[in-house]
Amino acid sequence: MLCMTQREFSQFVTQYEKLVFTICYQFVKDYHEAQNLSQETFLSAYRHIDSYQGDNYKPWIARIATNKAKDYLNSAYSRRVMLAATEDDSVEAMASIKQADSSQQPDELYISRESSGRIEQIIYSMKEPYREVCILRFLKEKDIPEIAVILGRPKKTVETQLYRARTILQKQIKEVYDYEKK
Amino acid sequence: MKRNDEPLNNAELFYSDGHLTDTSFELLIQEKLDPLQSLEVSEHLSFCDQCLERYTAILCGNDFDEISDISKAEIPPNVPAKVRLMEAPKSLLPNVMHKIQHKTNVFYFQKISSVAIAASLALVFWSGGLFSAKHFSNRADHLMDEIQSSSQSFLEHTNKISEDINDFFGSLQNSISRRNRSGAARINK
Repeated sequence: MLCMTQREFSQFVTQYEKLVFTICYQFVKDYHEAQNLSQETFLSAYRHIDSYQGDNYKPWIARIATNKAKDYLNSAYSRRVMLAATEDDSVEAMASIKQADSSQQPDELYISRESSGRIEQIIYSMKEPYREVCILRFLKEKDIPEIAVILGRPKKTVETQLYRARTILQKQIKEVYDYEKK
Repeated sequence: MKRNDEPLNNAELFYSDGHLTDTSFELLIQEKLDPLQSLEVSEHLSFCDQCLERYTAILCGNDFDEISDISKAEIPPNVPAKVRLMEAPKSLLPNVMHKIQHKTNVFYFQKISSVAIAASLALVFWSGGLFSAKHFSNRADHLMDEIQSSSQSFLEHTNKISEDINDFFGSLQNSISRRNRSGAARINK
């Protein structure tokens, strides 16, 4: 099943445990969570160490640790957004989350109603990593695989960045709309 | 007044080309990123080799044997030459090895179980005579008998049908010739 014996893997863990734990801690800032993520990192490394082609394990194990931290932070973010929407008891906010993956987004509907110049301004003033994604999606009307190729990002990353960008956009558009109403 | 350890919400974390800024690395190492910023940075590091190499170089300080010269030169000025890596919990190694041992045991148990089940099924079928040559020859004889009898009955049926057709045409011909003869006799009279 494995080329690396359990004894060799134990040495591997000893060699990289500080690096892995530090990466996990710097991202999640919680001792126990960092410990859990470090364990998951090494278990994942054990499963895939045979298929790794390179000879430098340091960036490889660092990437696995970063991915584990990213997955944890992503699910924590989703939970927070859901909770915030429930606490707000806002029908609009709930709808925006529920429909986040459907083809026609509420923000897109909103965009179609708003003056395009104003929306363009808001999109161009966004920060990275959302700015380019939003320009390509909403202004240049590229689809997700195209954006992924243009920006050199994985498709899934583009999807999650667009999802978060929508929430930010909705908030900013609402702020502008409310300000104008006053 | 802003506290020193507060996350900097307006900090520029990404260059316009999408890569992480020096500020981004500094804030990450000083644990000053807020949860959303941490998510954005981790998301970028999960696919960008260049930034991951820089991050690993910063964390490993002078231990550069495995890291390229580009990364050595690009350590942000506000980050110390060698970041002190955190001590991992003492339970990490035993926990990891215990889980690996457990998974390996489960893997081998599943393998052995499936082999044992396959062997017992084979034994049951073999003792029931499913694989015996006699069983197979009996089945083959039976099959041949069935094919023979069905082909014979098929032949009988087709013979009967052809006989019926012949009878029909024969009787038709007889009736026509009888009619012709009676018509000719009436004309002669």
